[in-house]
Amino acid sequence: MIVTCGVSAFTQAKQAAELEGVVYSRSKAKSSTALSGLWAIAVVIVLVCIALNIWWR
Amino acid sequence: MSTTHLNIIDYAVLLGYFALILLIGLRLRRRMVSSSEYFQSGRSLPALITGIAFVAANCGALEIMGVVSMSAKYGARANQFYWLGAIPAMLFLGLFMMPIYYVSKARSVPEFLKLRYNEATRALNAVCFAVLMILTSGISLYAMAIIMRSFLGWQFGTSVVLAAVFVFLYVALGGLTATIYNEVLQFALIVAGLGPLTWILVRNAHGIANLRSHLPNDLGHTWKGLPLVQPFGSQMDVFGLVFGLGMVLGCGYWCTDFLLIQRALAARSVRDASQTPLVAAVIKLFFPALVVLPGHSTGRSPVGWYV
Repeated sequence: MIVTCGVSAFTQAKQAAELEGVVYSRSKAKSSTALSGLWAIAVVIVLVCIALNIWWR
Repeated sequence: MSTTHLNIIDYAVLLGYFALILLIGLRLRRRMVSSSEYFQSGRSLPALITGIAFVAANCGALEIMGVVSMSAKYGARANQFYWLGAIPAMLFLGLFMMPIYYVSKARSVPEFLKLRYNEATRALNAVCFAVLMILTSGISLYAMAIIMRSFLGWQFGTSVVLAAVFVFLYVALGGLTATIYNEVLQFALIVAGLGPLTWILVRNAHGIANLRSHLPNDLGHTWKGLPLVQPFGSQMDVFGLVFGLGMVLGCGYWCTDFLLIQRALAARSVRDASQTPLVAAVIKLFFPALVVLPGHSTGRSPVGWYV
C-alpha cells in the first residue's frame, strides 16, 4: 500500500508540476481566503502572550 | 528511582490503549484509496483536529523530559521556548505561509519546493529532512525508553521495538488520518497525565507565586535578570532569545517542518489550514503550566518537596 501510494503521489506531483508550472502565487492565496477573522484571533493571541510575559516576567 | 509494579488493571489499560490505536488504523484502512487520502487525509479535517495534531506532533517523550528538565535547570526561562520560540512563528505560519502552501495543492513541503523552485531544491530538502527524522526519531524513542525503564522497569530494547512496531502498524494501515487521530488521543492523555501533577504541585505550594518565590536567584522569572546582550559569560541574553530563538530557530522550525505542515495540509479548507497553527498557538500559550511548573519542583530547586 505504501509503495502504491508513493508511486501514485510521485506521478501526480510530476503531472501537477508540468501542468501548472510554478504555482506560487500570493495574490491567488490571498483572494481565496478571508483572513480578516484570522488576524483578529492572532491579535488576541499576541495580547494574551504579552500579558503572560508581563505576569511571569 | 524505584520502579512501579504493574498490576492486572495497569496491563489491561496498556493493552486497551494499544488495541485502540491499532483499531483506529484498521477502521481507516478502507478509506486509503489514493495518495491524497493517505498523505493528506483527503483534505477533510476541521481546524480543531489538525490544530491539536499540530501541537501533539511536537509533544512527545522529548517534551516531557526535555522541557521539564530545562525548567529544572533554567527555571521559568523555559517559557521562552513557547512564548518566544513558538507563538510568533506559528502566527506567521497561519497568516502568511499556510495560504500559500495550501493553495499550491502540494502534498508536502518538499513537493511545494519542487513547484516553487526545482527538483534539486526538493531533493535537498527531502534528504535533509529524512536525516533529521532519523536522528530526532531516535532521540524520541530513546527518551521514551528511558521513561519506561525508569518508571516501569521495562527493558530498553523492548520499549523501542514495541513503540516502533505499533507506530509503523497504525501509520501503514491508516496513513495520515490515523496518525492525526492517534495524536489527538495522545495529546488528551498527556494533558490528563500532567494536569493533575501541576494541580497537586500548585496546591501544595499554596499558589504559583509562592512556588516561584522559592526558586533560587532569578529562576522564577521569564525575563528578569537576563542581560540585554552578553554572548559570552551568560547562558541566555535578550538579543539571542529574540533574534536567535524567536526569529531564526522558531520560524525555521515551525514554518518549514514537513512533519508539522503536513497536519495543516490535511485541513478541509484554506481557512482551516490557516487556523491550524492558530489553534496550536492557543494551546502553546498555556502549555508551560503543564511542563514548566512541574520542572520547578525538581533538580536543584529547593522546592522539590512540593510533590
